[in-house]
This record gives sequence, C-alpha cells and structure tokens, in this order.
Amino acid sequence: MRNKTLALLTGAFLCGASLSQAAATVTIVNNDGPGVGFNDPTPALPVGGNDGTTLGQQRLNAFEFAARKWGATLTSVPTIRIRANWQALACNAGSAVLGAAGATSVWRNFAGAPRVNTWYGAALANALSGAALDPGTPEILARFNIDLGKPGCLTGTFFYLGLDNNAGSSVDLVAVLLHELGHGLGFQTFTNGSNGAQLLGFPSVYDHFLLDSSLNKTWVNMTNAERAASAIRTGGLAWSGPIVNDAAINVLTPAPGLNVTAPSSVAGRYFVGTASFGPALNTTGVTAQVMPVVDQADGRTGLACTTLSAVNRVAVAGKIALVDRGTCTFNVKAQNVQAAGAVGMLVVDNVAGTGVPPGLGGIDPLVTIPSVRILQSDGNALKAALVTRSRTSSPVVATLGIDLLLRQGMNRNGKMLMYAPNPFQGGSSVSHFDTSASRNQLMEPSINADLTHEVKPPQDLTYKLLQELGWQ
Amino acid sequence: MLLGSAGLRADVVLLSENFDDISTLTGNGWTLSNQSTPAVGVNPGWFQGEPNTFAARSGAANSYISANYLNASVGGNVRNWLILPQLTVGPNTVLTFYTSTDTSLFPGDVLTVQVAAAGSGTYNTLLTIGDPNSAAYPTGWTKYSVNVGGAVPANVDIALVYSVQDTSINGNVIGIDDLSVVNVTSAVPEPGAWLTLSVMLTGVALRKRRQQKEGV
Ligand SMILES: [Zn+2]
Repeated sequence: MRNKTLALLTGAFLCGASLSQAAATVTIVNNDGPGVGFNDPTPALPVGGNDGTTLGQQRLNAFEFAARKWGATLTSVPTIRIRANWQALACNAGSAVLGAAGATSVWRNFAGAPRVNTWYGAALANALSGAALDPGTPEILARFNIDLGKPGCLTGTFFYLGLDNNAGSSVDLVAVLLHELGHGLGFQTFTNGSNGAQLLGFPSVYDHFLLDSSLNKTWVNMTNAERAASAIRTGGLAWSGPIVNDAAINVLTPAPGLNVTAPSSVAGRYFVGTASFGPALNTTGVTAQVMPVVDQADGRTGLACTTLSAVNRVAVAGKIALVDRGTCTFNVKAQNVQAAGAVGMLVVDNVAGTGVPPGLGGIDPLVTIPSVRILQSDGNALKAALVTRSRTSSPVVATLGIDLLLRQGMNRNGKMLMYAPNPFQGGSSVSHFDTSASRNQLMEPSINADLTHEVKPPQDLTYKLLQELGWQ
Repeated sequence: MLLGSAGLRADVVLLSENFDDISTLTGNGWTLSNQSTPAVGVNPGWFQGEPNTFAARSGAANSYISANYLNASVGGNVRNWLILPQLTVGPNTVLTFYTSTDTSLFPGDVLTVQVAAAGSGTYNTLLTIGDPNSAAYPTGWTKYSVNVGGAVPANVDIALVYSVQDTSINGNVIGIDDLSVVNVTSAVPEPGAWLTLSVMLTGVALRKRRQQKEGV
C-alpha cells in the first residue's frame, strides 16, 4: 500500500511539472488603418517601462505585454489570435466604455468538447480540440476607445501606457487589455441576458455555472423568462463552480457577519451592515443567545426607542438584542439595549433588501456594544425561530464578528456573486463578477485603480473561472 | 404490555409517550389545539422542547413537548390544549407525567388535567399545577399522577391544558415529558407479600455469589 501511494504522488509531481511548462501564444492581428490606433505616429516619451517612441507603438507594446501574460498563464497548442483596433466607443464627460471584446465565433460538439450541445468560444474550442477549427479567422475580436480623455469622453482622463501598474489617476491600459482578453478567452455568456434566449437554442459553457440562489437553478435548467429575471436579480446571481469558489475564499476580503449556530432551521452565515458607532467587530466576535425586544402590539416588533420594560430588560440581559429599525436613531436603540445588559445589537431593516445590508450611521461615544443591521428577510427568519423562546433563554445562538467564512463579493453560501444590475446592462450584465468583490477583481465591470496585472490567486480569480470552463 | 414481578401485579400500559418527535403525535391520535384569546400569538402552538430552555427528563435534550406565553397575542390569555388519543379507562387508570418550567421569575403558568366522556366536550378538571393560589409551577422535572378512571370502564378524552392569564407580564414556558396512562388491573399486593418476595430474592443472590467464590 505504501509503495503504491508513493508512486501516485510521484506521478502527481510529474504532472504538475509538465503543467507549469505549458503555455500559449497570443498574437495581435492589427486591424487599424494607416496612422490610426496601433499605427498612430504621434511621438511619445517612454513611460513606465514602455519604450515605444510613438503612441501606436506604445499601444502595441502594452497589448503584447498583456498577451504575454495570458500566454504564460494558459495552455493552448493552437495560437490565439486577436483581431484588435481602436475606434470610437460609447462615452460622455463622466463615463466611458474603455474597450469591448469577445469571441469571433462559437463552436459546439467539436472533437474534444467536454460538454455536448454547449457553445464554446473559438479560442477555448481550439485549445480543447488541439487544432484551430477555423484556421483562417482570428479567435477574438477586441476594440479600444480611441477618444478616451478627449473633451466629452471622460474628459482629461487618458490611458496610462506604462507597463509598471503605476497608472495613478489615469486608466491602466494593460489592465483594460487583460480584462478584454479575459472576455475573449471565455469570460462571457452567449445567451441573451435581457430576454433569456440561448444562442440558436443552445447554452454557453459559462451558463452551466450561473446559479440563481432564489430559484436554486443554473441557467442551463431555466426557461427564457427565468433567465431574464435571474439576470437582474442583484445579489442573487452567483457562480456555482468549485474552482472559483474554493480560490475566492483566499482571494477576497473577510466580511463582517453573523454566524448563527443554532437552531438548524436558521443556522448559517448572514451578512451585516456595520455601525459607525460602538466598537468595531473583530475575528473573535461576540457569542451569545439572540433575544428580541418586543414593545409593539403585534408581538414581533421592538423599536427600543425608550427605556426597556422589565420583561424586555430580563430578556436581553447578557444576550445579543434583536430590535427593529424605525422611529428613533440607531444609537438610541443601542443605548437602550446596552443599559439593559445586552452584549450586542442586531437591527432588523424595515424595508426589503438583498446582499450586504447598509450600515448603521451615527456617532455616540456612550455606546460600547457592537451593533449591526441585518436584512429584513434574515430578521424575519430569526424571529420565526425565536417564537419557542422562554422569557430568559433563546433557541437562537450566534456569533457577531468578522466571520472567517464570509467574503466580500461572495454570497452567504460561499458562492462568487456575478454582476446582475437592474435594469439589465447589455454587454455588461452577467459576464462580469459583481462590483461588491473586494479585493477588487480584474473582471468587475469597471476597472478599479487598485488592480494588479495578475490574473491568478492570490490576487485574482479570472484564470480560475477560465479553468472552470475548461481551460488548462 | 408490562407485567409486574411474580404475577402479583399486572399493569396494562394504555399509552406511553416520550415526545421524541412531536410531529408524530397527530398521526397517533393526539389533538393539539391552541384556543388562546383574543388571538393565537406569534407561536402557533405546542412545540418540540428547546434544549437551551432546559433539557428533557430523558432521551435527547429536545425530547419533550413544550408550550409558552407566546401562544397567545400580547396581553391575551393562553388556552393551549394537548388531548390524548381516546382511551378506555377503568377504576384504576392512572395518568403519570413530568413537567417543569425554567425559572420562578415569571409566575402564571398553569397546567390542568381535564377529562371528558369521549366526544362530549364537557371536561372536568382533575388536577391543577401552578395554581397561583397554592403551589408555584415546579422549576425542575416533577412527577404528577392522577387517577383518570371512573367507577365503570368508559371511553374518555384526557386533556392537558396550558393556560396563562394576561401574557404581557405573566407566564413563561412549560415542558411535559415521559407521559403514560396505565391500567392497574390487579390490586397492589400487601406489604407482607412484597417482604417475603424480596427476602427470597436476596437469598438466591447470596447463594450464587458464594458458589462463584468457591469456584475461584
Ligand atoms: Zn468587461
């Protein structure tokens, strides 16, 4: 037995070694006319490691830098060809489309396709089949905004052409290139997100991993109407794949949260909005039974805007008090439950919400217990579990703190959130990570200033998602 | 059926319930009926025991049945009925159960045992626990037994009724565990007979022990 295990391990090491040597060649097919875009002859001074002497040459250098990064990351026998050019793209004085990219063609049921009747973008289809399926056509089409920084197009904000990730207040072109190539390599659905229709009636490989947490279905198992509704369910559309989600735990920032450990009907992790008053949450957290304040005739609402009654005082002493938003400021509620001996406070929102709830505003040096807001729906679930309490003990036990298993950009079930704004944003919705991700991710819909040029953990999850689709 | 020792006593167990899973009660002929006024509260009825309140007398920590002041709307009156399957009882049919609350800070929990001729709906109260005019509700598991039979065998409905007057400040929570209804069909033997029996048993045990010693 022991020898066998050793042999398997050796095999694994060899396998790992061969993977690390693998690579792909990513080339540009310059689609700009003379004197334009990549061919712009305007003289340029060297900047951030980019020593091109014209604007066009510097753009090409930046492109090749990004192409080499992806080439060193992915494995593909066929060359990945990108037809690219610079042109006018949508913009106004305050915002701009920086670039756009995608697959030039899609393929299904080719030799080596891992999933049947499923669309793959050309670059991935080629890599999986081991040869170019259409040798005469580039696999990816990419366009970049030629007007950026000019009056009326994010006026005064230009591309930074340096290669050293030092864009300052400019827009880092290498990051934009890496992002657009990410789309072209497969970070996109070919399904129409606004009406839910699949391309020619077949799903995209990407759709196999789009999970709607309200319907508990992936996009491949939905009707058109369900997909269209899912595409605008902010905070409800997530990535189901384990490669992304296992990596995301180590890439994204721990989020403050409430970890309910009992009873089983409500056990799990809940996002919280933190307070600007009182102590900050920490990783140890405050663990206690959760007890509601009830001071309204409906028997389930507690505003805690005045000194607590005797029964409420006894109930919340030593407990995390659950109160409702409304009538008075959050810090007044905190003062009142604190005076009764509560060790923490959960404020249940009084309007519906999703995702991470807003924080609790206010300044109050007298408050010494941690306070947070929870979603109305989560508060209602806890209240339902609390009806079997006694006057002095609660079935609900929870820890309020920086929960090590909640992440900014994942849902409470540990699934990476996808961008699903309402209304639908054509060309942007679904085919990006959600903007709640922190640290910021390359494949969010906007390029954030703190991005690195990395596409892998520990900084980034783009390559992990491409792996999920079938890339090596 | 549980037989006593040496045929001197033959108790017939008509019903035995440990409340391991109260979702099975209705299917077994029990009736759970919350008749609180003016309205049922946020907690609609009887519920599985909460280990954080107190642990069951026996079995898993939650294996008891419970009711609380939230069975009635705020300031209302709890009347929460737990009715056993219909039984035929005789002159010596005894209901036994254990009950508890969790603290003496909130008096006002009352549990009554009531019996009615089957289907009549006319109940007579045989036992009251937590009567505010006498003893407080027990704060630890306490055994209660009451003879629920009449002079002649009859079909009856037996109910345990949890009640609280004005839940705004009164009442808290109760648990019930290890309930049984036993028909005692033979008279309990006289003390003399028990003594003889126990002496005989002791003798056997001693002889055995002696034999074992000699064997070593
Ligand atoms: Zn994009």
